[in-house]
Amino acid sequence: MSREPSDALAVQVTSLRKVYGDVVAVDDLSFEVERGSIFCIIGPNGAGKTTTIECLEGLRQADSGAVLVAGLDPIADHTRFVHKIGVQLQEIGIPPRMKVREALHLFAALYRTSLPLSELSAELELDGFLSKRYGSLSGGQKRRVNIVLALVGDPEIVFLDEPTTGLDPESRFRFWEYIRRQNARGMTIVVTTHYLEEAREYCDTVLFLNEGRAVMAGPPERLIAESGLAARVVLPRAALGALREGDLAALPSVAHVRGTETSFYVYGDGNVVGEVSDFLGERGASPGVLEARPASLDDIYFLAVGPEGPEGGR
Amino acid sequence: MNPTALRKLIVTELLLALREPGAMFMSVILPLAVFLALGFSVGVIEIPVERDAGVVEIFHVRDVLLAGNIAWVTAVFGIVALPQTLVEFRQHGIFRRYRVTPMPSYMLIIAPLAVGAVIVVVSLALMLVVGWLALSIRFGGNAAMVGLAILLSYLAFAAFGTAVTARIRNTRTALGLGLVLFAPMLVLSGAFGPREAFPTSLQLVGDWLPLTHAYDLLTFLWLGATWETETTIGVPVWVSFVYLGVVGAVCVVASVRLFRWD
Repeated sequence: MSREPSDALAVQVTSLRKVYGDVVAVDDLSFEVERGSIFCIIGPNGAGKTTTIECLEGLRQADSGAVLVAGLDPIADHTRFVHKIGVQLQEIGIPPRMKVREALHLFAALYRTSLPLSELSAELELDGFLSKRYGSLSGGQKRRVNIVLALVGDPEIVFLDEPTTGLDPESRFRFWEYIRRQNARGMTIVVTTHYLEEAREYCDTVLFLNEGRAVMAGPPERLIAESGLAARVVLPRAALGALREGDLAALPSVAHVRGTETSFYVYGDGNVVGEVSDFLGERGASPGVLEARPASLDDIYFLAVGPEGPEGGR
Repeated sequence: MNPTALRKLIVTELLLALREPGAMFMSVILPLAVFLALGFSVGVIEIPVERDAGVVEIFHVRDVLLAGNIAWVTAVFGIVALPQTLVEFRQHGIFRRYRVTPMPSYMLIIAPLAVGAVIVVVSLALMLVVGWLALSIRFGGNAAMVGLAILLSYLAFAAFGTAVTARIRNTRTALGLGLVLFAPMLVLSGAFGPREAFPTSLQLVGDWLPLTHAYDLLTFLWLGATWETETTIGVPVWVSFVYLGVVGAVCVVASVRLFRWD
């Protein structure tokens, strides 16, 4: 099953399926990435993020389904395909004895065009260790080198697999600033992350994966609006005596309650803060114990994929 | 693939090879040291070589040491050093990384082969210069035939090393296997002592090892052997040529079938 290539779409995935032995890594996954957008794949450990992105990169052959990237089949049209993409893999990928500067110059020479190395190196803070061997770098430094190598050929579409994992906040900020600048020039960005706040702030579209399937997809703000969740309230158990999850879940504005050892997490619509507050008042507990904040992508995520939370990917 | 990229790849890989002191020692320093040590000790032993019409020309052991050393230098590269590069590329996902660039995969085999060729030539040149200056060595053969034999044994051992490590994903395993294969070959080839001293059974094993053929081929050609000259294995020179070619061809086919990029 395949589709007509579209000029407006950077990536077209139709009914993608990939199985490793007995494990279904990706199942019946379909989505599209618009040209010039920043697209983010989010999901817990083992959700199939890396498998999906590696099928897009042509590093893995799907068992069934179709993948088109820049209108090309990543495996059948490999020779043309590799000129259009840039890739950052999670694994090492650079000989440990190669110096950073050598890697940059070598990779720049592989492409017909390249972004200015001095600018890339300055923006992503490689200047301090250009003469060091790749094998001697810290995890965050290696990650930055790999990001630069993905961008150096000035690709139409860049695939970044957890680019910001292990980066400090300043480096993450600089990374996203640079990515946004390249995006403004027209580069399409496909990224996996487990930082939901990044996805909300920088990405046009997010795709939530769980157990190899798409749970939901769309612009982050729209997903929050459509979820009906407006706020999250946290109540410490210690202040509430014998309160049970069911008591809170029975309130009309409450969509979901998650009880932990120490607290109740109550998700609901615009009335949830008022209702929970009144409820506490009726029971003689001080409403002052509750902590409320507007619903975030994290909340949608937890409700969609369960309480394990986002971790590394595969 | 543009020529600049290939040149850059080869230069970068050459730099990487220079940063591997073990491989440099085995391929350049050790052969030179062995050459000098043996050259100054047993180098004076005479080797009478019969020419046409019963004329006997006298060479010395020192003249031919270099040729034997080059035989095992090509084997060290093919069986130990080249697999280190290829297995490291496999182990660290470097093949995978290059696969998503415009670099064609075969360049990743060509580049280390080019680097190995440079190292073998440097090792040979160093022994030639030092041997000529310090030991006044003589060459009695046909340079083209010697060159062809070096190239053939280089390619045969490269194919052999690539085939036996085609699925190994750990450089230490590859190093262990390489040394386990290379060390007995070196001893049984006669490079470190005459094969006549071994029991017949070990001599027979040695007869089938590619390094024995490469060693005999190079030492005999160095002193002016022809295609028909019989070597210590008891076969004419041309048979060793063919034998190395067959070993190389079989290993190339095996490599193509077995080789894993990741």
